[in-house]
Amino acid sequence: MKASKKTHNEFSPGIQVVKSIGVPTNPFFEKKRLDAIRFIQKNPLPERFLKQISQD
Amino acid sequence: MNTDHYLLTGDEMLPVYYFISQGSKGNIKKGVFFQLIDEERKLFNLAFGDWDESTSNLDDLARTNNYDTQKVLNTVAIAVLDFMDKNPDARLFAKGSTESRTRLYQINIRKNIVEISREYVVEGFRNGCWEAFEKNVNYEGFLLIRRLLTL
Repeated sequence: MKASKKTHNEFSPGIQVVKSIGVPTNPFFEKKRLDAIRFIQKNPLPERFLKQISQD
Repeated sequence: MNTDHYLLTGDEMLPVYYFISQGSKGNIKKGVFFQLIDEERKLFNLAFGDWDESTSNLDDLARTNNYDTQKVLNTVAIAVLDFMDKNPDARLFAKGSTESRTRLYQINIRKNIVEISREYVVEGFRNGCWEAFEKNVNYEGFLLIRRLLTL
């Protein structure tokens, strides 16, 4: 049974939804994203991780 | 899992969560962001730090010193689980902004690995390789993916 997908606005109980105030605009935030991309490009995800993982 | 945590709020449009760290240094707003880094593989990066709403600035090197590290980490963990629950096909990459923060992630994964492993697969990166997470090993980064239930 595959886990059901919630919509983006559907948070767990106890998590209040607030009006969007947007993503950080500072260059550092984008640098962090680019650093992560570079890390993954340099160290690709393991093949087993890319396949759907079955639970025995 | 230790459930002492702060109240989370979630952005109505974006995969972002906020909470307020409370302590001797005052109230510090924190942001937990999930940055899409590979659309095809639905791979997200975990970005976490102090959030300055007035400047839309996220600072993941700030040292709050509110003496609530465990409570903060518990809250980040809850945000991660909620995000993964809402996005069951997502894969998550996490790496601290410093080695010591990566160690904090690792310590918390290790503390809760039995519970986490029921629903998720955790991998750690070290010596140039990804491998299944082991408790007493230091890693440079982590991957998290939900197990596909075949009931």
